[in-house]
Amino acid sequence: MTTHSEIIGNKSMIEYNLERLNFLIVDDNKHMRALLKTILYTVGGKSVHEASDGADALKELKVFPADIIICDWNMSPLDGIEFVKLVRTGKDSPNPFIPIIMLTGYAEMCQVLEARDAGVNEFLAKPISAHALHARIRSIIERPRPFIRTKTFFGPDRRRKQIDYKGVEKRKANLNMIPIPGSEPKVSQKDIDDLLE
Amino acid sequence: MTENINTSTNEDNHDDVVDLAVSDIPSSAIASSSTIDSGNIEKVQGVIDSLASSYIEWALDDIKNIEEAYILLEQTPENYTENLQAVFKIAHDMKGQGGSFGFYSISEIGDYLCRFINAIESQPTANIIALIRLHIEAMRIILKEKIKDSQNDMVITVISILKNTLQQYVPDLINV
Repeated sequence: MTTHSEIIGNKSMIEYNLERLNFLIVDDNKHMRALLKTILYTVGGKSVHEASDGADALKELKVFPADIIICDWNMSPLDGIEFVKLVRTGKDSPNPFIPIIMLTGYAEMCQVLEARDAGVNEFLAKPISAHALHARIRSIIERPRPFIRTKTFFGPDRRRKQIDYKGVEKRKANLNMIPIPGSEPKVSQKDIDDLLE
Repeated sequence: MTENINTSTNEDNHDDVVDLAVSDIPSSAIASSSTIDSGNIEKVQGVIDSLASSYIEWALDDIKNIEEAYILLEQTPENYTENLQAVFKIAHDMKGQGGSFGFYSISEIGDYLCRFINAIESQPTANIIALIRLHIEAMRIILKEKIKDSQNDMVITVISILKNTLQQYVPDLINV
């Protein structure tokens, strides 16, 4: 199979036609769905479906083969994190490998880590912009993450860099140091991107 | 859509890694003529800006809903957990939406309100409830007056007052 890295080669400015990609927007706020849909249509998307929460989205995925999911965190009855976990590890998941962009207003590092560990590919901190969404889609196309399966995790490799690390697993060692939500400063989109480098 | 691979990653130094695979978007889906490039992104931002009037209408609906939640909080403070959660949910939505449509001050005030609510650990006093009201009023005025400019004198003053008042409840507010 040809990878996107091979397709894009060394071109510095790559242009894509998104009209054959299927996008699924999962957000319980109809205004945000309208905004995301407008952005996707304007950049060339033609096939954009919507779901109002995680449970609705799981039903939609049974009949709609989405290529990219754009998912909000804060939804009920099934929130974004639970939804991502079900897509990644649910027994009847239609596609555990589907790229997922998580929208989050919870821009604190502990919450970003929680979403990453649930199996999201990319984060988009609110407020969103066309430029930021474009950058996240490009990242999924140009820099797909290898998937990892461990006893406790299934999802995209939580870092892109290849590091020959031989020490104690840092995630285990730091488990008790993760702060509680609301107790630490917000992080920027750059901080989030750096975390995934 | 997926393929198994055997290359090393920084997660595979541990015994419990049992499988690796890579997910790709079908190459045939995107490797054709241009539609998405940086120039188009400017055009998209223009389309988003044109949605601003619709946004104000939607956001004023949110104000109406958050006021209803606030009134419940005011009338039944003993149910504060549930009522604060209802106010938080709408404030969180407004925080996410405001800046997305160019109203960054709405995002900032929504963020303050979310952080303030997160810091409330017991039944709120009348002062605390009044402070919640102040956030809602500030957002309502900005939307009614359609003030998109974060550097507007009134916006700067309102945000400064909120920030100074909140710091006694949310000590790290100044750092966010």
